[in-house]
Order: sequence, then structure tokens, then C-alpha cells
Amino acid sequence: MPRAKRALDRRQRSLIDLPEEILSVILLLLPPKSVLRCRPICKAMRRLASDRAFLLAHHRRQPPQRLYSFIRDVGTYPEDLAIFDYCLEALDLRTYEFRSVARFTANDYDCSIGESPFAVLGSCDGLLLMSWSNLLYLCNPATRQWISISPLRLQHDTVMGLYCHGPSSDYRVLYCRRSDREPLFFINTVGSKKERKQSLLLLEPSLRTRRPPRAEKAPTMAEPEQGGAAAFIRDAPFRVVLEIVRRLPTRSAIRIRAVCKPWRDVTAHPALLAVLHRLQPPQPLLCFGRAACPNRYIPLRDYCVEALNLRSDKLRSIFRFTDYSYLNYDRFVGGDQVAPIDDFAVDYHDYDECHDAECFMPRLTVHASLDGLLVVSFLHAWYVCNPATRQWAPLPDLSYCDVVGFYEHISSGEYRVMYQIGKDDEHVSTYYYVLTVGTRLSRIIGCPISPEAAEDMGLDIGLDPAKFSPPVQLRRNLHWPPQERQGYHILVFNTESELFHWMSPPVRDKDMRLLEIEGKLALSVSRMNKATLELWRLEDYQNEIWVQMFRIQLAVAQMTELHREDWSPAVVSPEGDVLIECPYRVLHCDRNGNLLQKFLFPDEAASARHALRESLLQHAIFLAPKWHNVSEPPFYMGL
Amino acid sequence: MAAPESGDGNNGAARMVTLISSDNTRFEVEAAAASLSQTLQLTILDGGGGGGDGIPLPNVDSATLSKVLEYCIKHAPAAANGGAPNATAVDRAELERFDNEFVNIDQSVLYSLIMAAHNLEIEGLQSLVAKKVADMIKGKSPMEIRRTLGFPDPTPEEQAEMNAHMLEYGWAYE
Repeated sequence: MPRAKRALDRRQRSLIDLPEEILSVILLLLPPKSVLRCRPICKAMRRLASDRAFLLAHHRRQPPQRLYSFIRDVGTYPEDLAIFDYCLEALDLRTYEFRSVARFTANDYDCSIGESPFAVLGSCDGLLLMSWSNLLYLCNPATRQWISISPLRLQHDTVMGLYCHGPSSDYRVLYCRRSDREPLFFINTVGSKKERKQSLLLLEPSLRTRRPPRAEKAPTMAEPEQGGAAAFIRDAPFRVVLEIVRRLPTRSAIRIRAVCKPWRDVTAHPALLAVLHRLQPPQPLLCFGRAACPNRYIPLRDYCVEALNLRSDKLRSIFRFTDYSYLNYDRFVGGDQVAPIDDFAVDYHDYDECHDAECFMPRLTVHASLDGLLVVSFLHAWYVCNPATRQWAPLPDLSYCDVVGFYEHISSGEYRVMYQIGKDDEHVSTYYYVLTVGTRLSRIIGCPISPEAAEDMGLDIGLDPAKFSPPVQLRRNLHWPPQERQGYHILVFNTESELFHWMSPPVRDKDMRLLEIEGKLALSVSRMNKATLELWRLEDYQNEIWVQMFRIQLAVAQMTELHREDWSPAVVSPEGDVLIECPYRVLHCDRNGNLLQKFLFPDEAASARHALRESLLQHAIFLAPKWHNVSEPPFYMGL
Repeated sequence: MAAPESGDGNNGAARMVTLISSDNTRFEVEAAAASLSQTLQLTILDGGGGGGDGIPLPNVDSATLSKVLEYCIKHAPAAANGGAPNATAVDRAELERFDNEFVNIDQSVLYSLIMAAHNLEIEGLQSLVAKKVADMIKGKSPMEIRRTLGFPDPTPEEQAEMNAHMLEYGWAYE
């Protein structure tokens, strides 16, 4: 038999001609992965290796293996990276060999909350019921197929078992919901979403009799005895806590952690923070500068970034700091008496070299926004900040290049900045670099084009910087809005393979911006000084099928300022909100094109290219020790 | 605890259902009001709860259930209209006034109400009570929150732990 197995590997022609019964006996000896690999060989093999009877026989032949789940610290000396490998391995009891069944890397979890967020809750017919924080999946590790099981709330429910329901062959999960008085049992049929209520067992007359006799009246809940509120939050279901915390401003959401330990455990739990983050509507960011004392001869300047709530039309400060105004700076350069306002070491001396000629004031610039993190710079000082928690990490000085993107490298969990050098230089090619946040070393990746892309569509001449034309990350790909220099194609960077390729937008036009809507790529299409805008969405990523969601006609007659100045509109939300940037003003219109609100910026045109979705999640990049000679960003003066 | 008045009881077409609290008190309410609960809705659609049967609610005691039903009865007409479209400003203001009054209750009652709203999946009530708790927390320091919610004074240990946490995000406590 081993000889036959080797023969199969060599794919001798004669092997296929063996009678099916013999072939299937050979296949039975193979491990699951090899059986899967046999399927593409030919039609006969595919039929055999997919045959239900054969697969059942193969399954019965597999020895039961004991599963071990464990975690392993990824970080080593000197700093705790707070990242773990979550592993599941199977031990073959005949050979005493371990085989990896599942493995992934994720953030540390809070040990005080309880056991590891990764657990195997059931195993049946080669299927594993596994949970990751509050998500529950049924997986077949042999084929890597999976399905998520939705209605359970794991904080609240205890899974009791996974079984195959004989008559229907459905897989079902039996679980128990803790309550004050008696446990409630539920059954969830895998693959359906609505049956939870129907299978509320206590409502079934047949089962009601089986209830154990009721114990004495439980005294919980009734008295507000000491720690009533603490116990309430600790025991409250996920949804209840979520509904309360999502109604709190950021500051209060952090403050409640200090109230007591049970509250901290619940309200700082990563699962809760992740859901809160997803519930946040993205808010457009307005970056601008203004005279700090407009009516006096005091040469101070405010540098500001504010977030716009599109529903209430209120602006909220994200960053603000005050410093000497650059235009007046010369007068002070000679005098030693002028101390900097903050120990934030601003060096204006080579300012002219590193900034675009048209921008004569230094700006507090937002280069990228992702997962609640902002890449922000002021002159030579560069940071990654989480404005919600005010945590920050330094970046090396990138003023001499163009930052073109900021993304999460999903398989490692690292955040990376991509920048280019050599843009618009006829003599050299543009080269792209990748910098991992937390390190000072950049890695050159050159100008790598995927073999699927036939030609370079302008990668060589460089991209518009991310501060004007920010890319959008979807899963493992980073997408840039169509740019003139790319021939109006959508440039895509695969963050894992580090190769570029291109996709086609639905239209070619002057001014396009990308946004993410419900996990899909969306494109705002507009033209300078034109009243018509469109919002498209990429419904089918693989086949590049775009669908127009809105066409918006701006009521230009209402907005007199648009008759005199140049203006550029863009769609900024799934609801079809439009922001119009014009000199010294930003206008907000609804999807019917009517003006909702005007925001005035008398000193300097505001730029509104990024949107922030706040997050209280703990990011590993902020935990590393800070470098020497780096000052804390002074961006929260008076906030 | 007696059953509350069941709204327009003599409205001929209104179907009634019976709910049984954990302490075996029976409540008769209009099906429309009870259907604000997602949990009960399916059972009621299937024809449950009518006649002498009743739907047992082993998670909810009678005091809480009567409070929940007070809310449901008040909100059922608006929900039947599909919410906002037909409602006049006066109606909405009246509902809002009722809601504000409704959650102005003892904390222990509030907690049982939250659990009941969650177990019965009554969306409007869930957000109403969540908002109430959020308002009790908003803008307060940790000590003020403890006092508002009736915590005992912190032990020195707890106090040290609180201080450590307040140091980590110092700006949030200014």
C-alpha cells in the first residue's frame, strides 16, 4: 500500500486507471489535506474524493486526537508587546506528535476578566465550535470552512454542547442563559438566525414540567445594598452595557473605568470597545489655522483640527495648540528673550525647504486616519495619535518625503506608513518605502508591480500625497482614489504581498475621493465648480461592478459665495452629505443639495480630506517606551 | 399587585393576552402593547397567551412587569402608527414628558427595569433606560459617580487603585 501512495504522488498515468475501489482504499490512507489536493487532478479523482460515502469512511478512519488550546507570548525582551499567539493543536495519541489545527495572533487580553477569549466549546463529526471573545464559529479545520453563529451572547450564555440533530441532520448548539432565578435553555440551529425565540424552551409546554422546583425567592436586584451598581454593571448583559456606554462622551467613557474594578473590567473590555468603535459615525476632519488674538497685535496663532458631526452640524476640537505666528517669527529670531511657549521643539529655520511653496504658513497636517488613529505632523514633528485616549507614538521626521498611505498589516497587527521619494523627478524613478510604527527604520520596496497588471500606469511618477488624496484600506488592500497622474485608475496595494495593481473606476473625472461604506469601497465623483455630484459603490469587488447610489444636484442659487470663488464639493457620508471646500469657508449640504450649515475660516482655508472614527481600543503601538529626545505632542492645549 | 388598566379595554377588536410574572401574578394586556417586546411578539403571533394559557415570564417579577407594561401601553399606539409619520408634535412632546417621568425612579427599580427591557427585547425601553443611566454618569468624576450610584466609600486599597487609573488618563479627569 505505501508503494501505491508514493505512486499517487508521482501521478503516474496508470494509477488513474485503477479500479475505483482500489483508488478509494488508497485515498483512505491519506491525510485530509492530501485528499483535498487530489480533487483537481482529474474528473474521476474529483468524483471519488468528493463522494459522500468515501468522505464518511475517511472521517471514521481518522483517529480521535486530543485538542490542546494554549496561548504563547509573541513579544520578548525588552518590552511586552501585549500580543499573543492563540494556538490550538491536536495530539496524535499513537505517535505523540502535535499538529497545529488553528493559530492566530492577536492582542493581549485582560486576565482579570477571566479566561482566554479563545476557546473550543464543542467538537462533533470533525467540526469544532470555537469562540473568539464574543464571536462564535463552527469550523471544519480539515477544509477550513466556517460559519458564524450569531444570536448567542457569550458573556451571558454558557454553551453546553454541540450535536447533530438526527432527523434533520442539522447541527445544533445547546446553551444556557444565566438569570437571577432559573437558567433558561436555548437551542440554536447552525446556519439559521431567527430560531432563538422559537426555541425558548421554557415556553414549550412539554418541557415546562421538567423545571426543577423553584428555590426560595432570590434576593438579588431587590435591594440597592452596597455595591448594587457595581454588581449590576458586572452582571449586566453585553448589550445593556453597550447601550449605556455608547451614550457617554469619550471623557466619561474613560472616567467610569476608575469607579471600581468590576466597572473597569466590563467597560474596558476589548470586545465592547471594538463594537463601540464600529458604531461611531465617521466625522470629517477640518484642519485650519487662525490668529489666536485677532483683534490685538499679539502674533500668536492657533493650529486646529476639528471634527464635524454631520447630524448636529457641531464642530468639536480634536487638536488645538497655540504658538508664535510664523509670519512674525523673523522679528523674534534674533532676540533670545523669546522662549518657546511649549517645550515642543519647533524649528522654523529650514521651514522653507520642506514645505510646498503655495502654503506659506506651517500647518498642523493630518496625513491619514485609520481605526481611530491619526498620522499628524507639524513641521518636523511627526506622530501617530489616538485623539480619543490622547495616546501617542512618535514617528521619524518624514517632512522630506510624501506620505502616501497608512495601513494595518493584518497578519502581524503592525501599523505601517508608506511614503515615496523621487516624485516628479525626470531623472530618477519614484521609490516607495514602508515604515513600521514604533521603529525608526524604513524599508524600501521600490516600485513593485503585480504580474497581473500589464503595465505601469503611472506608478513611476508618484502619487498625490495622502494629506490631499487619502487611500482607503479594505481588508488586506490599500486603495487610492483615481488620480490624474495614474490615468484615473484606482491604484491598489496588497499589504501582504507588497505589490501594486490597478482597478477601474466607473467613470473618469477630475475629482474623485474614496470612502468606505458598510465594508465596501465607495467613490465620490465631482468636478470643481460644478453642481452635480455622484456617489458610486463597488458592489462586486472581484468583478469590479459599480452601482450609482446617489446623484446630487447642489442648489447653487442658495449659496452666493459659490458665484465668486472656486469651490470643490465632495460626498463625505453614506447618507449623501456633501462638503464644499472654498476659500475661507466650508459648506455642508444634504443629499438633496440644500445648504445646511456654513463654517467660516477667516484666516486660512480649511482642508477636509479625512474622517475620524473614534476608538478607545488599546493599541500596542502606544505601549512601547518613548524614544529619547522626543517631546510630547502639545496638541491638546485647553481641551 | 393588581393588573394595570389595559388601555382602551372596550375597543371591540383588541385582542388580549395574559402574561404571568415570576411570582405568579397574571397581567392581562392588549396584544399590541405586549408585542412591543420582540421576545413575546412571535409567541403572540403564533396565537399564544390567549384564553387561560398565559405566557410565563420567569425572569420578571410583578412589580417590574407592571412598570414595563405601563410603558408598553403608553407607547403601543405610537408604535402601531409606525412611529413618527402620523404623530403630531404634541403627541411626541407628551410621550417625551411621560418618558422623563417614567425613569424618574429608584435605582433598584431602574436596574430590574433594564434587565426586563433586555430580556423582553423592548427596543424603546432599552434605549430609554440606557440613556437614563448614561445621564447619571455623564460629566461626573469617579467619586461623584460612586456617590450617585450609592457605592460605599472606597477602601484605601480601592482608592489607591482608582488613583492609579486616573493617572493613566490624567487628562480625562481634569
